[in-house]
Amino acid sequence: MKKTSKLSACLSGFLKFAALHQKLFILGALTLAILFPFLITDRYVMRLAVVGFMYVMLSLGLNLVTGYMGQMSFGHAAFWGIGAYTAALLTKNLGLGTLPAFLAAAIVVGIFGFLLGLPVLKLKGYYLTIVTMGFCEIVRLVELNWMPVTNGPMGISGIPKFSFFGISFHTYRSFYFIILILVILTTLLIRRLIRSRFGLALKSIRDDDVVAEAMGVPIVRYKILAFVISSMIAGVAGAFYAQYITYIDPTSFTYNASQEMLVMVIFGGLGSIPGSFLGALALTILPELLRDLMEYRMLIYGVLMVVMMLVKPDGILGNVNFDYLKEQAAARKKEAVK
Amino acid sequence: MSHLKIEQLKVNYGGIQALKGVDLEVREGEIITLVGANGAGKSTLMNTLMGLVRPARGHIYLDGEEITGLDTKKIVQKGMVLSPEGRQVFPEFSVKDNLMMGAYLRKEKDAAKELDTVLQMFPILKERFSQTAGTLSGGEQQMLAVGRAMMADPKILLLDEPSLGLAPLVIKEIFQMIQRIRNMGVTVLLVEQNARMSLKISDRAYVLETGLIVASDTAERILNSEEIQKAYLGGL
Repeated sequence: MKKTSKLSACLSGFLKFAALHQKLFILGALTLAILFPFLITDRYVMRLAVVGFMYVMLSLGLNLVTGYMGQMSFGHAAFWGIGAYTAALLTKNLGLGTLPAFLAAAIVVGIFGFLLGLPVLKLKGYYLTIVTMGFCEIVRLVELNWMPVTNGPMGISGIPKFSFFGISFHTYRSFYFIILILVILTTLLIRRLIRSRFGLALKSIRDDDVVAEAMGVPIVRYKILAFVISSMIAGVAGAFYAQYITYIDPTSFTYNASQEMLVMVIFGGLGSIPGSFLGALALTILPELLRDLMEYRMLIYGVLMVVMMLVKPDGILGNVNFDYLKEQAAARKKEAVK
Repeated sequence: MSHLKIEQLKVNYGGIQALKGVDLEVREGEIITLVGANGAGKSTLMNTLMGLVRPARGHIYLDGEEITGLDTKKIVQKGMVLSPEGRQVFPEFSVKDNLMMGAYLRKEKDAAKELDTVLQMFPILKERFSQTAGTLSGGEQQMLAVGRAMMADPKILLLDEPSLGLAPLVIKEIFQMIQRIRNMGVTVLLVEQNARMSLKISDRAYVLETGLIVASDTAERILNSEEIQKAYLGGL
């Protein structure tokens, strides 16, 4: 008991510090992220970083729906997969460049997100969770059986690597920077959305949809819009994945992958952008660090998750009010000066 | 002229008739109390007025214009705003964000202006400005809920049980605040179980019993009526 209180005191002290020096932290993290590929030359570490950042992107998108809007979606692996297949088919068969492939993936997945969200998001409660679970399975079965298009269980191989305006990129450093740029763009988009009135409305729907409606928030429209944006982000992440890994098959985009993404979002902190970074990166790296422990790996992973949920159920950075922390710390500083 | 007029309003929940034909009239600048026991249909009436519940029959007029069946958004824009039962603030929002939600349909510039006015009305909210609403005391949360409704700049404010679960001293404060709101030119329709207090500050009152209005009169006469005292004011 004493140990956990010490731990949480340590965490809250750090958060206060972070709240006071937000800009410094962001700048520091960004510098580190940019310098990273120049400091590290190990391919394994680079690969981990690329995959980690792709999960950051997926988590950020999913956080919009799960963290900010309070709806569990188990369908994001399917969106990720549809994005991957779209990009794979277009780049391989039509020779499309990376940017149009990203765009096409976003549009196609956005349409799927809209069609799935339209009937479900009109309802309240857990319907979305159940329907998205089913959706994930349906998409997997289609990928598995639609031989002429998806090549079934054999998957699609030989997907061209990234190419922008006819210039193709093959180095790990370039993959890293492509995903880094995608992550930065996603972060800016989510941040912009969350700080806008639309974001406020989303959170109000999560906290109390009746009151939100009484305030005049068009809740159904906003829920669908957020779901579509979130799925589009997953679609672009899928398009990245296809061109990065150059081989995709249905086993990557199963219900399990959806679950992993959700765990990242929840572990890092519902409704927190730094939380999505933390959750995705930590849960990409952690299983790798534990790799030496062989079959005990998943056991330790599981125990860690359980402890985590007991100590801080809303995730490490869930519900941290940075503005308030900042104000408080500033007030205390003032007093100290006096 | 009547500000809000309700004619023969009927609402069904599944097979149950929650409102069986309610007539009610609110004039400009009045405080009206709706008295009634649990399950009488008070909150249903409020929610129906706001378009959150669809009526089976009847008409609602705001300033002579029919608003029955309109979207909540449109009704809020026309100047009728509800502060829902049980001080439903957004617990994880800061006080500021809670207030800004109230002005959701207004231009951001107007909202910022209104924020100053509301903070002047409720100085305690200024003190708690960036604190999370869930950490506020019950009374403060109720102030916030009302302040949030005021952010929409309503012409008519519907208050659903503003004194629910609050300490007597705080309740007194809430009722003073309601009077202040009226003095600012806002018409108030008040639903209360704490009938004695609310009748004291009201102009007129209606008594709702299982979906029907069984009495309507000046607040004073309702307060002094023996029957009402027996039924709603705890004997005396």
